[in-house]
Amino acid sequence: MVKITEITSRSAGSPVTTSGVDLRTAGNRWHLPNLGIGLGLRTPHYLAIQADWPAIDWFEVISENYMDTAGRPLAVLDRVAAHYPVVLHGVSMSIGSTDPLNRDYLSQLKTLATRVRAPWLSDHLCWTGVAGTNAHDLLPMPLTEESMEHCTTRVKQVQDILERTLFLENPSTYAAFTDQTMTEWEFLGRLCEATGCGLMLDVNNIYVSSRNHGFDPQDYLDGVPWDRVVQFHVAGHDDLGTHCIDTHIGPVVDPVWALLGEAWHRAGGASVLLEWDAEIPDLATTHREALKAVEAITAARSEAS
Amino acid sequence: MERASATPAPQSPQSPQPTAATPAAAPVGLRLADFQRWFQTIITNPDGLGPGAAAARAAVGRDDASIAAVVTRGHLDPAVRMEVYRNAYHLRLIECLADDFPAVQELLGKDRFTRIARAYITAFPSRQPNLNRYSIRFPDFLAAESRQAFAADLARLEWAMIEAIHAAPAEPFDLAALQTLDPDQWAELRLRPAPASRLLDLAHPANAWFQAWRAGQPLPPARKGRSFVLVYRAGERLWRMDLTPLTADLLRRLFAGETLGAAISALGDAPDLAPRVIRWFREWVAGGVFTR
Ligand SMILES: [Fe+2]
Repeated sequence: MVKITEITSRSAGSPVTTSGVDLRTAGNRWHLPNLGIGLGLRTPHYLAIQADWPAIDWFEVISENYMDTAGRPLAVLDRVAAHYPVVLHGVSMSIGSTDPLNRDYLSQLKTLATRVRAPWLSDHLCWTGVAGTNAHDLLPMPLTEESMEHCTTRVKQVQDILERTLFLENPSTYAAFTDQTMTEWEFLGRLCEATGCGLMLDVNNIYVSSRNHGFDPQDYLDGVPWDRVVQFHVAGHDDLGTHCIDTHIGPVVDPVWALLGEAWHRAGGASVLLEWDAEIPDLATTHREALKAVEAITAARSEAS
Repeated sequence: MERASATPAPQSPQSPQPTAATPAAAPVGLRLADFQRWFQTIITNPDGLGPGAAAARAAVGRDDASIAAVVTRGHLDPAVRMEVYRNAYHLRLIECLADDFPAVQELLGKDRFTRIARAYITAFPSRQPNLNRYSIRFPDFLAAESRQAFAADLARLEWAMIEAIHAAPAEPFDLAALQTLDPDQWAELRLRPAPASRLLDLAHPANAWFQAWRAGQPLPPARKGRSFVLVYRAGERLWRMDLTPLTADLLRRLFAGETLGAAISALGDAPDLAPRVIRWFREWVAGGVFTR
């Protein structure tokens, strides 16, 4: 585990306590730290970040963007990792694919995790392609017993290769399948139990999927094994009325902040991260949006009491 | 280009042909491997959901594996659901190409660029975990498939810049060390290009066009005309330098491993050549074009 004290000292980005809530408490079973409220590291912010290393709690990076490169992206990542905690978030592990695991990818991922001293790394409950193709999308798993068995074997293999706990994120989905025999929260809960893996819970994805499939987000929250949640995602989405698209554009909507607040307390505290991936505003605006998490967490506390 | 985990939104309201309403959706019982082939065949199809679904049924040898039978309806038509994925697959890769070749997109216009990008995506599906090198064949594809010779050269320039960004850093050849050499040692000197340095020999003045576009100046006509461009990286900044045929020849020889003496004497004996060569050479060395 990374020693956070190794990070160059600087002023804290988000408050450590507010209204009697300890914002850095962490309820996960691995005693992984609550890093506070972070941002996804994105190219348009590279200059602003390096100009004066602003007080932002931590950064999450898309692992693949720092693979097969030896140049500028890696140089920037090294400097960012010298100033902030950096968590790796992948999009191409393809844990649910029936293609063989990509060993070369996994070994690059392991090297990168060591390089940035990542306290944990995550990918998605999904598959990204078969027959050697990468669709570069988080494709939905049919939630069946066969998928459960398949994912269980693969998660165990990945954890053996990486010599780390794998944290899986619930993706936004637009389709479910007639072969399905369980809900996503049941699937994830069983997978955690069978493999020892953990969860990186995206509350925006819970909201988007609930709108797309017509389930109650509360049912989802009731099914989450909370001591396995190490991190949350929040993001904006496109609401088309009939369904939602997980675009990661724009501010986080109120129902998603409310879900975050509730989920944060149920988990006993965990790191929060804002994803903003297109039409990205300046760093200060993006950070202000992320810091709304403080209000959401505080508000959920006063509602609960 | 960089990858994110977001889903691109449809650009125009989508109205795929509704699937025939089926009564209760019974399980189809596709094995996971078949299901994934079925799904991928549909979303990667460039022609639409209908042709994609037909190809998918054939791919798994199951006539009954229609979209309506495999995908749960809920409150949304299964076709709308699958179209989100089909749309996102193509849009994300189009975005990748547009991100890597912004000047080419400007030259061709968004519609034509997107049409060519769609053809490229169908011809070359990604086979790598990241998108950093997905566009590598696009310049040649433009030249071969679309007879866009000027655009192809512009794409070669843009691709050289991307390669320069991703190239490993290297210890630059040191200007100070150069000062201490005596004339004989100068002549015997061999230099290696830094990993980021690219020398382009183009059939069109692509850099002049790129420069005007970047500076927001009136765009020159996309005409023929051989040009030479040096792309290099000083620290983390990229530079583009137009070269004369003479300087390009010198640099080509140096990059090929000829000694400085041999490369210079191959240039012939134009008057005042030596001082000019020294000036170019110092500029290149100072910019980190060479490594030890
Ligand atoms: Fe997410």
